[in-house]
Amino acid sequence: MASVEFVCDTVRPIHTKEESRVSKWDLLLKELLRTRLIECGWRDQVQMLCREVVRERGVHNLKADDLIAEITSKGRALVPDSVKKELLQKIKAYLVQDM
Amino acid sequence: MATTNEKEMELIRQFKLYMTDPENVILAANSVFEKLVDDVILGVVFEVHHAAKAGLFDLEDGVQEENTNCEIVDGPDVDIFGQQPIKKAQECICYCPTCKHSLAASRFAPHLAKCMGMGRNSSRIASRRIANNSKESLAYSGMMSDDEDDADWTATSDRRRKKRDRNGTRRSKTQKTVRNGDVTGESNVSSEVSSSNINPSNMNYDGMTYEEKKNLLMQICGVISEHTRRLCTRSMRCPQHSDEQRRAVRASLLSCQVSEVNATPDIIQVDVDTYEEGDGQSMRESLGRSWEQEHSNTSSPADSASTSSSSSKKREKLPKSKNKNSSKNHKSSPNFQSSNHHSQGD
Repeated sequence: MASVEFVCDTVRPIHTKEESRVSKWDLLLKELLRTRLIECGWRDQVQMLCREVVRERGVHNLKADDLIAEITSKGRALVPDSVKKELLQKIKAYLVQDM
Repeated sequence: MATTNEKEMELIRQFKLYMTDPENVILAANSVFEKLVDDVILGVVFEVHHAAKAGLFDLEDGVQEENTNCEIVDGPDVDIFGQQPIKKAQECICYCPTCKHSLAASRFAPHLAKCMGMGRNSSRIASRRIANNSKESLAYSGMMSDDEDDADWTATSDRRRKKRDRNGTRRSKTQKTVRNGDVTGESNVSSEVSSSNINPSNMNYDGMTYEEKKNLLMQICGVISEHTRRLCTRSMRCPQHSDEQRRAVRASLLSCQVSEVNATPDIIQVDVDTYEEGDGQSMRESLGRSWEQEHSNTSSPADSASTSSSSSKKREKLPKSKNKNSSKNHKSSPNFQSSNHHSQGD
């Protein structure tokens, strides 16, 4: 399991001091969330959902907006509680301490 | 810059004040989390959407379909491709015309050879015929005894005997065709003659009437060999024998026949089938003897090297005489020629 520090090191902000602080945390949290979701198999589930939708509607009738609208509601519900808790704790710590 | 900095500091101060309330922190955290999740979902959806539009799904699905196509079928009565096993073709069954037995087409020719007595066994049949027809071949019957042990040979011997009877009836037919001057009839005669060469009682020539002999001599060379005592069955232009020999044979055969006609006219009217073998044999012997007496001085027909050159020379002369006689076609020309020789022999 990749640690937060590791993810931090991989993402290298290049902007000004303030921007880099914000974007650093933003990228860091997003990257963390992505790795967690891949680890727990959520990404594969969402991909299967997408494929089903594409197959139902046909590739040529498909529009990105419709796909996003349909998948977002389902995808949110599929996020595991453990990942959600972890991410919320990190966000809280960021909001209270670092700002 | 100072004003914006002040404004910024003011905002941060308000934000920190707002964040002192833990409920607000939870709300903010939730909203931030939602945003993050939406971001990730958006990333996945874009990825899939791009794949769908670029046809990557079709590729993946195609691979899956191929896998299903190549699956080994494990069902009863089918091979691994799900096809019915190939049955042996029903239409390839033949029925033997002689014994009405159904056979595969690939076995038909070997069966016919056995059933109708052709192929390797034909020599056995011929030897059997010798044993049946001439009673003098007692020595042969001793040899035949180990042939009798052969299973497939003895099994179909009855059928062969019938077949042989049929051949006997056919023999008269071939003579009729000769009378018509057919080429096929000629070839039949030659084959018949070759088959009857083994047969000591040579019915073919001896049983003929004068007219039949004349017609036959129009078709073939007819020179009697010294070794086999048979008529040469090749065409009129047979290179082995000279025209002189041919002429002599015609003269001897036909003149002898004519004398016999005068002596015993009954024999000529006798049908071929009812004609007695013994008479024919005696007649033939007499013919051969007379021929030998007359032409003992001529060279042997077997040594063709010497005779062929002389015959070729004579052949050059022949067409002129034919033209003089004003024969209309080639077939009638030997007829005229033979009759001409006949008159010379007389």
